[in-house]
Amino acid sequence: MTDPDSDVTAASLDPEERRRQAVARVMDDYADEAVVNDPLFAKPLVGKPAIGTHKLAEMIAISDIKFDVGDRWEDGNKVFANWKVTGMHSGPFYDLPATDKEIFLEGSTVVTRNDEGKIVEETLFYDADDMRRQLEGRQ
Amino acid sequence: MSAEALSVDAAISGYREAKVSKGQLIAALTLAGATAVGAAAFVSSIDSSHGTPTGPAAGSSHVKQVESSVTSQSQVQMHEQHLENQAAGR
Repeated sequence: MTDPDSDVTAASLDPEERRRQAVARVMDDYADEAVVNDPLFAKPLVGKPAIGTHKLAEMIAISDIKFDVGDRWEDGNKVFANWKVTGMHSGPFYDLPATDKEIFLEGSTVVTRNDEGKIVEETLFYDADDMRRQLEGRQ
Repeated sequence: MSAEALSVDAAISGYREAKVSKGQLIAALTLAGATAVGAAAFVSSIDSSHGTPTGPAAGSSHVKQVESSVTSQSQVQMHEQHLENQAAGR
């Protein structure tokens, strides 16, 4: 997840423009043909438009994001990391309305970069059923 | 299949297909630089993540995906629908 509020220089912009700029910054780290494997979605997100759309949806839905990266290690062009994230579900996530409840998630990510240092593949492992329950405001 | 012969990619996809044991996966992750605690937490994440699709680079086509209300449309379609809903005040 990406927090558009992390850039204090953008604080004076309206939220929509701040999100757009934050997505652009995040997507600059991805190769054009990048693939994101996210258990929340049945198929891989392929290419910057699909990935950027999902990043934007996360930014619209979740605020006050706190990312705690635990163990992290590298193997060749891959970086592995375990993480925990909290945030407030303060906006709609696609067709799911805001619950105004805290979201908590823990999982792991594998990021693979190409020779230019751009992300070509990002695979996330976390309990997507639990995430859906939280986004839908269920226990 | 020995842990030494496994790349981490192969170990992860093999574990998800029940062809590689948890011990072999932890061994492969540890050889790749993970601490024992980090490897165990990583495996726990995989265990809880039943739906992670396997992208082209990872090379598996055997993972069955479960459609849900969130997963039933493309990301672009869902975002466009969200914007339409916002515009309509829904």
